[in-house]
Amino acid sequence: MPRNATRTRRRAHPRRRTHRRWERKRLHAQRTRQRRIGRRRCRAAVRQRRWANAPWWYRHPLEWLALESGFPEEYANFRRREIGKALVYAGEVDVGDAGTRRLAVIFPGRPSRVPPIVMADGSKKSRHRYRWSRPTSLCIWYPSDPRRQRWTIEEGLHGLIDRARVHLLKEAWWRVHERWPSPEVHHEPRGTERRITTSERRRLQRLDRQRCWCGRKRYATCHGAIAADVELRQLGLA
Amino acid sequence: MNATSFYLKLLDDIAVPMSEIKKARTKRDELAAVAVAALDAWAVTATGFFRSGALAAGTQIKPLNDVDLVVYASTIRTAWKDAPQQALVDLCAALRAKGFECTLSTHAIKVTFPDVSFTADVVFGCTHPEQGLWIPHCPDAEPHEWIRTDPQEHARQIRKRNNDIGVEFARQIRILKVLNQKWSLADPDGRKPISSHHLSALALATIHTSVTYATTTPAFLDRAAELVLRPLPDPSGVGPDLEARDPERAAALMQAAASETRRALVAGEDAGRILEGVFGDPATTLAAIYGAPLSVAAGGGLTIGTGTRGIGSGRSYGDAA
Repeated sequence: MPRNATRTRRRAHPRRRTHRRWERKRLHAQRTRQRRIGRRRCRAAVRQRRWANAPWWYRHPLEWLALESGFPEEYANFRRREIGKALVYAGEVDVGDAGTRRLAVIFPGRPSRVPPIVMADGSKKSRHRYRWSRPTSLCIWYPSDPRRQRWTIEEGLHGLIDRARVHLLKEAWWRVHERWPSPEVHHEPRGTERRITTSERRRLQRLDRQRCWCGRKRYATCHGAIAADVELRQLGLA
Repeated sequence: MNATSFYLKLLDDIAVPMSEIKKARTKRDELAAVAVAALDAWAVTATGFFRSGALAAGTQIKPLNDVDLVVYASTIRTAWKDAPQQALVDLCAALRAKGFECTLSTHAIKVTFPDVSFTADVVFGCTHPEQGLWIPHCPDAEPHEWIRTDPQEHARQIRKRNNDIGVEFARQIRILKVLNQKWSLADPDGRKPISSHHLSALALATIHTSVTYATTTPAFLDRAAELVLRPLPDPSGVGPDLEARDPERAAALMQAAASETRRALVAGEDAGRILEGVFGDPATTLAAIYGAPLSVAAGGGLTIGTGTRGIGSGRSYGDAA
């Protein structure tokens, strides 16, 4: 390379030098800002993921508060446990002439949106039970009925326990007399239908894909896959 | 509340309204006429009917679940001789042809009516030359056969005891039926420790003098706790001996109830609380099963009417067992 090559290189105009320096600074600032934004976005995504996976009682604390408000003295023996994404309340209740029973009230999601699941110990022989899980759950109300006939969060946890007690008494009566004189919506057990309609097939498919009571995944691969006595112990029914 | 007041209130709570009794009697007699006409059409001889069961003996309690009726003939169709269930099947078909809805059970045809809540159990019997009837005994998992019984004599004996020592005898049986029902409600399988027929037979065997509910109840329970441990001869003298499904359990329940009812005798105004622990609260149970408004009482128990808070009601739903 000839020596005069560098000599012949002309120094940039001072204004241009300033411009380059400014450009470098601008680019640096831009990269810094972009990195900062990226980090923020990343943190936000993690936060969102955590929030999305957080149990409902963290995301909706007011509903939790409403659920437990006014909890009466007679249900003081109820204990709260967190299993999976569900909140489980288990305790003993007096069912009038039918004696005493253990009850597990499960909230797999926010109570205003996800219907609670109520299970009881003792005989499962009943006219009105959901049978997608081994412990079976009480069908206390018809889901398509108007709000005033269904349990709502305004009634609180104790309102649901009250309803469950009455339902258990009706079940005991049915076991003795094979009669269910109070209002009901009845359908035949699975497998005894003469002709399975499309809507019925969809209903059966829904049952097969039933989410576990703990709210994590399908029942068949979650609590349905563990030993029955372990499941009952977790629910506080054994 | 003292013991006497408690028993009177209990009887009041479980009394079947007279209007319902009259309606049940009318339905039963209408059905009897149709069933006897069906027998006459088959040319079997000496047909007739009689009323049996709790309604005939005056031992019915609320709710009236069924009325019992026996239709009989002195001869049977040849096809029924070796196949007792065929008698029930044929009679059921005849009733269906007349517009009745019926199903078969072990001994009887259960008829349901569209306009009333109770059902009717129609038993077919072939008159025995000496006493009583042969009736079909058709359990699901056992061979079918004709067995001897005499429901007419059983109802007659209760009515006679009523005439001899007063109608309180039948009312005492009603009180004992409430206790038996409470035990069955607490049973995981809903089984009664002893059948109503066995309970009536125990009452016939132990109560011979005029009844005072407060004192007769513990005395009966004490004696019955002993008798139930061994087979009790059928009061009519023709049927098989009566046995509890689990005699030890039945005896233990009766013994415990006897000591509590005796304790209530000397408890004065506290007797009501003690006896409620024994007999439960049938009025609240009936209200609950019929979907009447309930509430939670101050002590936490279920009660009718106004309590500390009302209990929501809805329509039960789900798969049948």
